Amino acid sequence: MRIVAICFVLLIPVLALGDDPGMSPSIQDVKKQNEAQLLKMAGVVSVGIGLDSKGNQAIIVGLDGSHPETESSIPATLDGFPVVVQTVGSIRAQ
Amino acid sequence: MTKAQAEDNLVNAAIATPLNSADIKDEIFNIGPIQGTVSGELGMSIKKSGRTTGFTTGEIQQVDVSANVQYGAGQVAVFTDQLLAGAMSQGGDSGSAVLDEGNRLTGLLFAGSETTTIINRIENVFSALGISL
Repeated sequence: MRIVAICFVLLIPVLALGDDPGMSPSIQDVKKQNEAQLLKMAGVVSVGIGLDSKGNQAIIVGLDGSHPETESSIPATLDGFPVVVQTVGSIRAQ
Repeated sequence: MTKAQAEDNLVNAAIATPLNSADIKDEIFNIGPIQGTVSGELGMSIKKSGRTTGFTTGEIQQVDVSANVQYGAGQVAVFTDQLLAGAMSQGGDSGSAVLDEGNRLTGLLFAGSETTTIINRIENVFSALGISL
């Protein structure tokens, strides 16, 4: 019982930090945390920061073609930021 | 098919020296002299004059872009901190200077797809090559 109590005491400051809006991650942080995983998914060729159709900052994922499995496994939002999936084609050095 | 995966890259750039300086003008065909530099931002109107598609314009649609860029069959290099615009280039346009409406230099064009153009930030190019305007 004492151990549980100590754990709660230790958790409180952590939870308080997490709730502070000043501490929520920026879209740049969220993109950085997720891009390696996104770029490994079949057909993903780019991950950047742009705007969604409503003009909100969004994480934009580019595909080289039709990849229904990849599209269905990319979440609609990451940490509250919208994720937009676009087909951009293969990106080649020009 | 095996993929050769390079480390993350910021730029695809090189320095060239003209054999005869009289062959080179210090202004860009169809654009004119460069009026300084500017950091690329979302929504910025841009233009370039390139060997293949000539003078074209576009808009920076994405920043902080990480992209898998193909170099020939099976060769892929990852680039980070790139600018992305709509279609405004084709093969042979690589190396075009990308400028804003005020003719300020913002990037170096090097890759693209049917719908996108990928541009190195000029600050990363200058830093990698140890040069400035």
